[in-house]
Amino acid sequence: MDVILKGKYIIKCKIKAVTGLHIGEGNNSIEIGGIDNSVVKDAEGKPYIPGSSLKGKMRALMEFAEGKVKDNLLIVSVKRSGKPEICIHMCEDIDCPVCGLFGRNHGKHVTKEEFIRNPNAEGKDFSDAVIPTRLIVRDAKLIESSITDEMKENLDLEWTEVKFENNIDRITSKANPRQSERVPAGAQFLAEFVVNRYEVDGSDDGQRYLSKFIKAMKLLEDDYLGGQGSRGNGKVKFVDIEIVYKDSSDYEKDSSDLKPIAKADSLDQLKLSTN
Amino acid sequence: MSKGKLYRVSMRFTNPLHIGEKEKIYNITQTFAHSDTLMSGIINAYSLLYGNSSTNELLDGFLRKSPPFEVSSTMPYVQGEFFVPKPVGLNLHHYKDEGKIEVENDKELKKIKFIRENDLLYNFPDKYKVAGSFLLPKDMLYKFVESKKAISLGKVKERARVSIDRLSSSSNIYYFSHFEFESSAGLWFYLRINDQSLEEKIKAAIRLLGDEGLGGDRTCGLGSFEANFEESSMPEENDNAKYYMSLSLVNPKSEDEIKSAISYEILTRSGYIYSKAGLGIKRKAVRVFSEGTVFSGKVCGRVVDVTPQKFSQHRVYCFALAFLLPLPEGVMMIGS
Ligand SMILES: [Zn+2]
Repeated sequence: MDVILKGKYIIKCKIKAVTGLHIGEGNNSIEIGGIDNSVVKDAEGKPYIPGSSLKGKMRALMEFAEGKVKDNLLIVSVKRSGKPEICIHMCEDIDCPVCGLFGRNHGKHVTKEEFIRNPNAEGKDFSDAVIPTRLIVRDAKLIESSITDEMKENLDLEWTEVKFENNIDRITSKANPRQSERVPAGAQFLAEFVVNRYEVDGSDDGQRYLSKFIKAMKLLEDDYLGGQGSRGNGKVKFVDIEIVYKDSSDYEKDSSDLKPIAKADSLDQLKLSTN
Repeated sequence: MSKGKLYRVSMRFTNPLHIGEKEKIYNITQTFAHSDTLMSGIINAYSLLYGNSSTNELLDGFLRKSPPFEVSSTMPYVQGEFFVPKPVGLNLHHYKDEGKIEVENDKELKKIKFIRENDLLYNFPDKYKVAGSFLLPKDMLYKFVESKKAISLGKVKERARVSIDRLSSSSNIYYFSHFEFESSAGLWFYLRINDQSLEEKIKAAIRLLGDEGLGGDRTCGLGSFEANFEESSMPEENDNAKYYMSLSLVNPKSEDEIKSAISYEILTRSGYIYSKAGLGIKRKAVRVFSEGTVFSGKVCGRVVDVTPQKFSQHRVYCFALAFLLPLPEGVMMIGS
């Protein structure tokens, strides 16, 4: 297979937290006097949105939207005590928009359907369909000025608020109060996504995967990011969107002055010029 | 050895760098890319830009023993100072006894891993102190370390990743570490371009590698960097040097090259094939001399075919060509 990079669509935008945002550190150790459930922060102590969180959530939403969440199209990614604990979509269809954009893992995979029939199934290698993942999602860094002095007055920590949540144990009815840290509504993050445009054995992607990616952005706006989404957390909106195209020949220049191919305040105003 | 155009390429990381899962050692040296890894990264990027047949032509040059370009391994830079590995077998006690290196106890000497390139090339013209794993001119210490204890390139952080079942929403959490460079620190390497007609293409491949990222978890943005090319020369390009130190991994091409290694360390390079066709397949392991190995003369090293038996899509190579730095006259090695 011959895969050639035609160019890159670079999507620069801001992610606005419409409601409070909780992307946990996943740290279960409780510091005495600390917050049980803190948000991810960079080396300078500022909250950010990890590229992996954005990518993982968008992939999951795309899988549903593209009709890929079916036992014969899901693979077992983690099994626990003989059960298919975590299943996600992955396949060997070279034209699959989900795998084409978000990538395929190497190695052998067992579908959920196969697993249910035979937990020891050997699985199948998708290597023939493996091409470099088109999408790169970078960490989105907090725009400090988006947290205004007025907002800061209501914050418990420098950039975040801390809420008490009362979880009631369903069996014992005992209250289990727990602190949870959130990035406040109104905070904005600077985001960058890259969609590679390939020519695979002579066939050019064109804007196919860029359009699919914009669909994934729209799906995320109608869902939520991070934890406690069902309680209203994590609604986000993409604003100040700018898409530039970097042709592969631009890499031969010392620096390139790229002109945007699309610019919009929000996703519903975004129009791609066809070329 | 050819004498092409030499560049010092600095990599300013715009995102953290993922440390290999297997090498979960909290040691900054683990985040450095060896010359073979860097070379395959560049060649993969080249292939993505120019396709299979151009890449095969490029590879032919390496196999015909006239490499179109050469690279060293990556090494640290901090605040505009470029470091190289300490030569294996450098007699630091001698320099201490001469009064050039001031230490409280000899244990500090053992910790030294990096020295400024110019200090090595001019055989330590100043007075020095140890700051962690770096040897620094005494009057420069203030520039790097407030505590006067260690020099900091950045820090290791642990990142959590979660995978979620599509139907039940049950989750699985796993962790890996990554390295965040301080804004004034990063990695650099030497690039020597021997085939001038390919200069722009090779630089383009390195710029693309910067956008794609080096190391693990690239599609989540990790390991991306901005490359800066600065023309450079080796100040003491001296054909009569008594010793040469390698800034790359070296797989000797002959018995003579093995014998000329005076002070050395040996590493085993193994792992998975990384290319468009071969993900997740183990390549053959190779033993190589590490960076810092000192040779008594010029060696070339070689490109080793590490294609696994059942793999037919393409050949797989380990680039272990020597990138040498001539050591100055009078440099003191242990036993000399
Ligand atoms: Zn798929």
